[in-house]
Amino acid sequence: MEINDFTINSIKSEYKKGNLTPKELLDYVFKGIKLYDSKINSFITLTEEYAYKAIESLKLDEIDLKPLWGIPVAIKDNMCFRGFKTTCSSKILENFIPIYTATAVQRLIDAGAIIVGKTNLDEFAMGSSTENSAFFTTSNPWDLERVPGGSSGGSASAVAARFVPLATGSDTGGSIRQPASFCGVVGFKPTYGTVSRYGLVAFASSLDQIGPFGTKVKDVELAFSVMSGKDDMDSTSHPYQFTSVNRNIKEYKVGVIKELYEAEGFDIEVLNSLNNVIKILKSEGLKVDVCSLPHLKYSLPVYYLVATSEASSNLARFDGVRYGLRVEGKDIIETFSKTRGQGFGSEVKRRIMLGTYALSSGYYDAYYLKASKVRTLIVNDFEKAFREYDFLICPTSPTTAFKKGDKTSDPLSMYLSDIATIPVNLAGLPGISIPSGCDNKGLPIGLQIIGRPFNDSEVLNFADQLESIINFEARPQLGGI
Amino acid sequence: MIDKEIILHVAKLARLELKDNEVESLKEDLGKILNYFITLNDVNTDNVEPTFHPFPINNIFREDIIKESYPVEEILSNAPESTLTYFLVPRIVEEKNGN
Repeated sequence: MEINDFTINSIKSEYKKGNLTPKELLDYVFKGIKLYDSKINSFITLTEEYAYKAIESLKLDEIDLKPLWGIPVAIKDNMCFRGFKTTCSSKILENFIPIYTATAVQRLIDAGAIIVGKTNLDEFAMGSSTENSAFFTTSNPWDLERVPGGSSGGSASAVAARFVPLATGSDTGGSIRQPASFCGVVGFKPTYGTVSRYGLVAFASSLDQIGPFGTKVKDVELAFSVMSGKDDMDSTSHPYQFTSVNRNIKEYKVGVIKELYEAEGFDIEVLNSLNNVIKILKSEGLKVDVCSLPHLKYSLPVYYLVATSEASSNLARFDGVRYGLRVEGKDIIETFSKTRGQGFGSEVKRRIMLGTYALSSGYYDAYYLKASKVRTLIVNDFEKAFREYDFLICPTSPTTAFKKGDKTSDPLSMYLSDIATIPVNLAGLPGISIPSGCDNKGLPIGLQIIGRPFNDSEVLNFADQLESIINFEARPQLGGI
Repeated sequence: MIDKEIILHVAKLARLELKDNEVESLKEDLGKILNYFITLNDVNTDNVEPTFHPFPINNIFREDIIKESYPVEEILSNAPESTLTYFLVPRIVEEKNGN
């Protein structure tokens, strides 16, 4: 059996022709993981036994009714899956076994998807390199010396290595798009609220969003169509109904974000790749202009104040009482403090401290409130730009994948790698990263496309057509079979 | 400025026990980060309403219908310590006579 084009459509078409069975595909998936994952470390947990059992209930006559019939999926390990460990790559949840399943995961299962494992991440999704996992660091399949990006680095690398055709991630400040960019795959962060966050371990509730990874835009679109929609278990979920759009790319107007084009710190090759995309769009007859969003330059401080404040509140639930690690102290307060002191890793502690400080009496107005006001100005900048343009484009990340250890000692330089993705979360917009080329080291470069809120279908339609024109076919040497 | 005293105070608020070397590195990191964040003071935010959420959400009500909940034993299955139908924690209220 040979699987060259590891896409959902091609897998389903092989199933229908009788050339492939879900069991054969699972054999292929687990064989690939066993051969290569010791080098890449995408997975924390494999759900092999479950997966083989789950395919038994697939009925071939339902293949056209279930969009993800027999499609193996990897789940980021901050999403609950009943009966299987959900660690968030943290010691504090090392042995936590949820008694329920996240809505997004359940919807994938209901659509016929087969969960094959849980993937590594930066602890509690806090990081941009997957080096903050309490267990191990994931490697980039394109170059094992380099990081896969973060925090959904396990999911991005699992798709890049062709272990699985589809994976889920969560994106608070770029945690789907940035690793997709580093790993040369497609990563989609939908509009805030379109996918329920029930069962996602919360990091920053006004920013968190679940989304899919795939090798092609059509695959993430299919996964999104399944996962999205109102959920009674998440009061912030939106009654969004997915309908696919089929509008010619030539009809769209595109703005290039000046602040993420002319700014310092962007690699010349990353900018050249963007220039190439602009040239392509213009030759297709699209109107492309440079447009300015003047408050975008404040996104980083705004994000880190808002996200850490929300995190300090959300992570208060980890106190060693109802679940997770407990380290006994002489009284309840000391038990809380010891549990949290020993259970959380250094980046999580740094963020809890920053957030607690920003919310504490005397500093609230100067930090959290100020940041929330500047957030309004950033949202307004986007609204203004979208009056003129259908989409905004920019590089997904200022650089290609960096080497392990390069940024671990300097939190600020690590934070800067999310500079182009963070503004999108502050405004709750849909954003997708697609591969736009490679640098001279052969590492993939990502292009980010940002759309109006709830215009997810248009973003996917545009990205799909642009993907065909760019025709990125490179893939890492390592992985798959 | 962020000094040791502030770090220890915030750590106490956050219920986070820190080792001496962690206090030192947090003092340095938070100092640097907050210093960089001072750029926000350049922005005029007079008469600007804060954004706490990407889209306006109001109170969300639902009918007060009793639904089945998770079984107690399942809820307790992840507890570090439990008894009967309770989570067990160290004593919070002191006993009389100072015991």
